[in-house]
Amino acid sequence: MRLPVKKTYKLYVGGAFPRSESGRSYEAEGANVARASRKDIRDAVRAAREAFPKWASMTAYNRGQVLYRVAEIMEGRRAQFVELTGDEAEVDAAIDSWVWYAGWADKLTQVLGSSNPVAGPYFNFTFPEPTGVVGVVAPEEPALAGLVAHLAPVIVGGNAVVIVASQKRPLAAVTLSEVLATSDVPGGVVNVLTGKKDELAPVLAAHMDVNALDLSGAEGEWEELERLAADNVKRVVANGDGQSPWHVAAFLELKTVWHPIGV
Amino acid sequence: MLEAIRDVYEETGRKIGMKPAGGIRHAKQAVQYLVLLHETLGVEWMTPDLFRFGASSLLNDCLLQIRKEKTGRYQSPDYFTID
Amino acid sequence: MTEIEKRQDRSPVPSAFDYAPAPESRDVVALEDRYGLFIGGEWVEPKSGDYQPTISPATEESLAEVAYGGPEDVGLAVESAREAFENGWSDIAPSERAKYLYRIARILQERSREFAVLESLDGGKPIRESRDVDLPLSAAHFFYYAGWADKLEYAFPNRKPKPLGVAGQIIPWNFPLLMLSWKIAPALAAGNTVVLKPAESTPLTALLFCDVVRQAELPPGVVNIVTGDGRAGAELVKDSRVDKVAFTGSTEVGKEIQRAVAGTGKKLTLELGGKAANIIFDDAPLDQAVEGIINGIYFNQGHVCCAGSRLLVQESIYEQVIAKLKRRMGTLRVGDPLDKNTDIGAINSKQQLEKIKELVAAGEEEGAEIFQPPCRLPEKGWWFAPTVFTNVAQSYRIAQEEIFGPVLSVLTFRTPDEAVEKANNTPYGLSAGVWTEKGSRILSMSQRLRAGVIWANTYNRFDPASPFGGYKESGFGREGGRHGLEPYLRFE
Repeated sequence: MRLPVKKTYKLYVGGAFPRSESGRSYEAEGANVARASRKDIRDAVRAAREAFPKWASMTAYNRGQVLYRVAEIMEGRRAQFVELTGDEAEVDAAIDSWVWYAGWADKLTQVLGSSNPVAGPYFNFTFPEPTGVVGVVAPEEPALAGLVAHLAPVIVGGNAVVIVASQKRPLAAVTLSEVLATSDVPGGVVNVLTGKKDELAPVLAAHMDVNALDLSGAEGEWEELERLAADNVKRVVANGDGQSPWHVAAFLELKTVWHPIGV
Repeated sequence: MLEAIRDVYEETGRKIGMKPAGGIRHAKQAVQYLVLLHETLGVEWMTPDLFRFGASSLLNDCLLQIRKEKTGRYQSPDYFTID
Repeated sequence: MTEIEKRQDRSPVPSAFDYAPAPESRDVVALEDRYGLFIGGEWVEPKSGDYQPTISPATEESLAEVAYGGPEDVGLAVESAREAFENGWSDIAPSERAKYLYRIARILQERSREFAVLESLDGGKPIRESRDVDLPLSAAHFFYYAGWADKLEYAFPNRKPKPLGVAGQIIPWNFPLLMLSWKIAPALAAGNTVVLKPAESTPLTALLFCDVVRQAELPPGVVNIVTGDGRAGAELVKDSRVDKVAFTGSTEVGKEIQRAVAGTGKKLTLELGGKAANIIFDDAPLDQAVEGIINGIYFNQGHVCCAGSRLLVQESIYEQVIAKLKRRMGTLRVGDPLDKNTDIGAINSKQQLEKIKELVAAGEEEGAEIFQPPCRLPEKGWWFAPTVFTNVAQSYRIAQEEIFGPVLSVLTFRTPDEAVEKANNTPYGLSAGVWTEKGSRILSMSQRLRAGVIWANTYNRFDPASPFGGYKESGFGREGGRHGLEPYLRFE
């Protein structure tokens, strides 16, 4: 009988897999999982902010290809995810979700933007831009598909993200991070922290360099988190769990440009 | 054009005059030009040496306006010879 | 040598060219002595029993007495809006809803001069602006959104848009009627009913608007106006029967509102302050750019959230631009808002004047150099001469804080990268201006500037079809365009 080599479940920050700077861990799903601290949040937000400009300035086509690659790599590891979640349908849905969102990357501008017929000799157009760094408190269940439903729409539009994963079932999030790390997703675009939600969510909500928040997974603590978010006027969102370009739109800013028409 | 004249004056000290040509038929339009001149070049340019209108129909309109001011009644062009 | 230079005897130059006063008549407006609240289609006395005068900032005279709604009054207004929403307004055929809005647009056009004069009287802005900008845009806003009322499924395909219910709307004093239009038009087009609280210092055009509502035969309770101060606004935000809050005003109050609705599930949009950079490159046509600078900061006395209050000028043209700017400032006329010659009107209130003075004093103390053209300011009323500060560092209060007055701070840059960095180095992100002849540079700057509205080779242009709103602490949500409907709808 061969003794299996057990995985150490660490954080995913800046494209690497560090342990929590606090050195702590907690037990979940039969494993010791890194227990992130507020300093890990600090580092993750910093990594996200650094990665944001490059990710945002990639062409939409490029970003779409990266998301598709995530689906490719995830498909290759399908068996591992099925073993982790025990739910084939959930894994299939998660992979297909990446494919679906990949197709949106270069369509958002056409669906969300517009050329505006102003009443004067001006050329005027509106187009969406990523808001910057988004904090996501992921839903507890379903641990994998729920995470993807709140991750893919955030990054397809060019944002960088810091995720607080499901507290009870974090392993899928960490394994997904391994997929992201090998899928051409630039380091820092996605950062995944595991740990105690009620310790981490308020830090994320209060962070002055986070532009928007998805609080879908913050069961019951909404009011305090929304209040903290007001200090730098964060855009606060609760996205649904279905697939929708409007989930993407929630994290995009609209910019309008005017220019006179003349010789 | 007035701005260009201003630029030349500032760079070289030369004062160049201007005569807007064409399309100025009514006293009201002429006043608008004078305001433009005043706001851009200032009172110094408001002399026939540096600014002129060349329009005979404008002259007649000015006469119409003067008589209107004196009598309080709107005038007809028929009463002012074109020559 | 030209003939002119040869002549020895020159014709005499006039000593001065003065403009005769051109006052717009006040007769077109009939003011009541006292106004109540407009709730459920009727004029009612405030339960609070509180009335306060509204003052003309140009003369300090009291124009009329206006009700200050208390908590009970706000509650009654919300109830009326709720009632109107549930019993009728949301059931009316959208094409009929559209027709009410078209009526309002047309009536505003018909009574345009009346409203323009009243706006200038109550708020202090020059009649030329209220007549030529505020009124036409207000009417256009209603006209534009009227057209969307029965086309919502095309604006949001496959999303099944539905109204939210009752919208609580709080507006500022810098464009009173225009801000009212920006709030009410999309809300009604989407099928909601509203309770609107005008700014404390500028209630009159909102109150006159109630007469337009009457003339348009809008069903009672669809639009309710509760005048008052910040307390009435806070009550409105708190009321649990309000489904949506829309606020335009200072970032400070915006944050308070965001905190107040935390955890309530109420939808919120905020349109807050700004400290826009107006960026002039060395290839820009300078005279036009200077007009753009002037328009950017002195239009509406600088009481504009998207004002170009920071001038970022490329070093190589700094001397020229400042010289032209100072000369042009000398031709600006500060005076009676009702005089058609006036360029810069009165400062809206004593408090605002104090705030401007405080920041200007801070600017001088921190070491910036101040310039104001010689200006004869009227004795009564609240006035401030157009001002420009040079020698300004990025960290000075006058480069970071919103002054909301006719005060421009000038900074320099050498490269486009530096301009972008300085322009974006602020918690605000509402608007920006770019002046250059090079097309690729316009588009590159437009991409890199973190602001919701970019004006390239122009400034302060507004249109109901053009979405307006900020990044970062300048707020969230957009007003205008198809995008302006979204905050007033819910989707299945």
